[in-house]
Amino acid sequence: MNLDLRWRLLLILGLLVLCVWAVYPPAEKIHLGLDLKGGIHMVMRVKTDDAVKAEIDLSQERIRSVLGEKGLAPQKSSADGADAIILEGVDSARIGEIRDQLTRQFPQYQVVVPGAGRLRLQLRAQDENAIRDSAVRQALETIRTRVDKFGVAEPTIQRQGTGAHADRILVQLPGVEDPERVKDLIGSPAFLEWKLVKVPPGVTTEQFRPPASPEALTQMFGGKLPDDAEILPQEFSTQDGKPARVYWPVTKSSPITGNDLKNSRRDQDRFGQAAVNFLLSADAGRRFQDLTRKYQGQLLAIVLDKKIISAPRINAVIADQGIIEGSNFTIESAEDLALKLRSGALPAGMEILEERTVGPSLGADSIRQGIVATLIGSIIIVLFMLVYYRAAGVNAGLALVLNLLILLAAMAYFHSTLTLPGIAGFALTVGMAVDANVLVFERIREELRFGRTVKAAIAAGFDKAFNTIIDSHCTTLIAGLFLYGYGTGPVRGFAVTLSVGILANLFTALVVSRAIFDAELALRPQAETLSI
Amino acid sequence: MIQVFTHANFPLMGRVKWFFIAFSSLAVVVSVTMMLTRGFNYGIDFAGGTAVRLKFREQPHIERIRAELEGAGLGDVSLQSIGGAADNEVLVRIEQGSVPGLSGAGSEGGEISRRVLEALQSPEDRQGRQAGKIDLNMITEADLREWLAAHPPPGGGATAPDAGAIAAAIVKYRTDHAGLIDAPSELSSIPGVNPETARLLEQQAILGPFTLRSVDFIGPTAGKELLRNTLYAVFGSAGGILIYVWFRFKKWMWGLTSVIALVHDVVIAAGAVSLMRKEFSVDIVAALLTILGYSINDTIVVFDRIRENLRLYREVDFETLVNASINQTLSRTILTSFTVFIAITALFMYGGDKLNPLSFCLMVGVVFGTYSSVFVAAALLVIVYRYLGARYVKV
Repeated sequence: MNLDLRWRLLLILGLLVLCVWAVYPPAEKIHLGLDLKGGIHMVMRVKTDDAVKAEIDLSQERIRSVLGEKGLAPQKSSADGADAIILEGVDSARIGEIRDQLTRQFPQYQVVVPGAGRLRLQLRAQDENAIRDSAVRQALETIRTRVDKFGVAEPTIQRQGTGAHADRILVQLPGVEDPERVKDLIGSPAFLEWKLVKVPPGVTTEQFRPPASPEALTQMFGGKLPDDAEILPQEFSTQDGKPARVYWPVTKSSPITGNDLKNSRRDQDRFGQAAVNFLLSADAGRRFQDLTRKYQGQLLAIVLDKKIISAPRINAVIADQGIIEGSNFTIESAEDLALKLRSGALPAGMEILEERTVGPSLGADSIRQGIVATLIGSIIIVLFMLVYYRAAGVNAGLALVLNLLILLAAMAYFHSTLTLPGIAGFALTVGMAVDANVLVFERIREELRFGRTVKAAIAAGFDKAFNTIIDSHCTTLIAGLFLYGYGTGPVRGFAVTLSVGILANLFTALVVSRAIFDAELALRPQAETLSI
Repeated sequence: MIQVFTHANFPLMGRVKWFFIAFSSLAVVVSVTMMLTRGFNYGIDFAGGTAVRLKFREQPHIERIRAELEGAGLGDVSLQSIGGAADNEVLVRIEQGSVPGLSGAGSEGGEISRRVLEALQSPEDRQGRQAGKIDLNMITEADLREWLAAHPPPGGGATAPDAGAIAAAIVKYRTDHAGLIDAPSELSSIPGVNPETARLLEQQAILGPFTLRSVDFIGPTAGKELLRNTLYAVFGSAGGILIYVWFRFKKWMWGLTSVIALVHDVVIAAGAVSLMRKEFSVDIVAALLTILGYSINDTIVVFDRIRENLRLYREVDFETLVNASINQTLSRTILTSFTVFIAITALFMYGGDKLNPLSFCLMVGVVFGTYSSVFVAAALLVIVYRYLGARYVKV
């Protein structure tokens, strides 16, 4: 046996050991996709329009105050479309001055004068994009924090999509069974606000009962709500368990919000009901103290995502600590709310584009069926190769086994995810694994028929089949790469197993199979026949 | 020694090639017509909506399930039994926006699955549940653990730390038994469950008649994007392969004829999916792309031999030469496809219902891919040589 062959055999053996080491134990080393393991897969869209709207609203407020300080306040300001502000009733004589002022202080807007006494501020495209982008990034961070705190093993949280679709977030939570809880946990904005209740004129806070329709409430204000007030609903269930709603009049502005929170955790109220307690930052604590001193005896609504949780009376001055109670909290929902408050609010609403929940039993069945199918396919193919190519069939069988092993090892090493279509890729690899062998064997048979010696036939067989094998593998790889590039989710798993399988196949067919033939030749140098 | 077609010398490139070209054209036309008129049985990936997959303990009665779901205001539901008859599995599909009173797309999937489960409960089970009983076939591991911790069986037994282990053991047993526990008596045989807990569960738990296997909800925009990406991927791969073959064989006509053969295979495979009403999901996209990548292999084997022979026998008539090349490589063309076909057939028969459309599509693709290497790709090369001129083909 020559030195070169010895090295080759040693290399193959080393690789074999390396593969077994990488794969063993498979249950730990092979990462299963959600479709096999069970769990939740979600694709969500961040409603970045919300963030743009928030920016427009905030700017309007600031413009009013900036211009107001100089006595230049417009009579009316309103949003124009999604990304512009119109100021009306501006002092025409000083419009140039106002315009300069706005251009300097609000560089993100392009200020134009469309008519007498009017100004239009258009949000610049690049600034709008930056706002949308930062909303998505912030949402991603918030979701990541929430999932981490919820405690899921190996979650996937990624931004997805390009261009106009760059507002997608993919969330995969293996092993999680309760989609509703998770959805609420990661999808709800959790924007907390404290707002003063503005009771209608002629009604005391003791007498006021929120009515069951917004119209009735407007009636109580004499048909028109004050400019600084808005109506928000409160949802609860009645004694017999039916859902009901009432409507509260509250201030538009929120003196304290969730951004002022330092910490929050699940607690109990004085009746032993689940509740959420919170701690405010030092600065907000002072503001809260001033507020509660000033408005003692009035009602202070606690608002979560534009819905009122409760509206307790301010009985004493509160500093930086408090409790949120009375929203039919369960232990679970109080725990979740505390967690959401701790991880911060989402900057914009979320829309679920795709949601898949796979129970563990379905995944287990899929794995079993996939393994059975792959094994049956392998056994029949190996038997066929043994019958058809006799001793050389052993060679092909070894190549097939090694091919599967390399494929598994590569998946373990690169932390690729095995999905259900990925299993199909395995089965297909089994079928293709012997293709290259067939090409070489048929060529060797042909050369033998031409009367060449065994040694020459083997050399010529590998030589002449080489180009064909490379070409056929490259083309399959091209399709595999496109599949990976455009495919999503489980189909990518198929692309991965198919592509890696093809590369492994190239190696086993050209290196391993060749080495086995050469070893056989080395053992029987004078061989006149070849079992093929 | 077993050999096939060792000395094959079939006259395949003579007048008979026109018969195959006609057959292929007809198959393509029929496939395209099929796709245009009959369309595809789009799966949820493309169509959007909600799909709830349930497994029943006993043979489910499809019409009764339909009546129950429609009675619960779930509107127009489509029901389909999946897998073998013994699997007792049913897929409930509900189109997006067809259920009135669902607020916003945000919670549609979850809300629909909740309503489906609600509607299918038997009256006894509903009573049991209202009386505070738990359904061991539906409960999550976390909830079972909590319930067990809160309900220690009389006579000692499970204390708090045991609850986790018992819940895990029961859920594992259920998972291994396709998600359904059939009879209360099975509980005491689960390793890790003590007799007291088993007795408690026999009294306090019900075993619902079905279990939830999966829920999929896909919003309306996903399908369109997917369709666009599919077309990009198919045309991208085909273009890539065309360029590769062109580059390797130095003549663009070789690339073009092989890609025509590929498109032929993909169109017929897609037509077969339409004809057989197999579900068109992203898996089918994967299958079609695999056909693109795989069925070129046989074409390359044949083309390689044609090129080799062109160099060796310069004076031989092109038609004869192609015919000889095909015959010389016939055994490997058929054998390589045969092994792949075995693997896919195993997948088709034993791989479970989810991989069934994918493997079906691949089976059709592999058969036509082998056929088209000879009767489309090589035949077109001969036709081009004869009627358009040697300069397009000669290397």
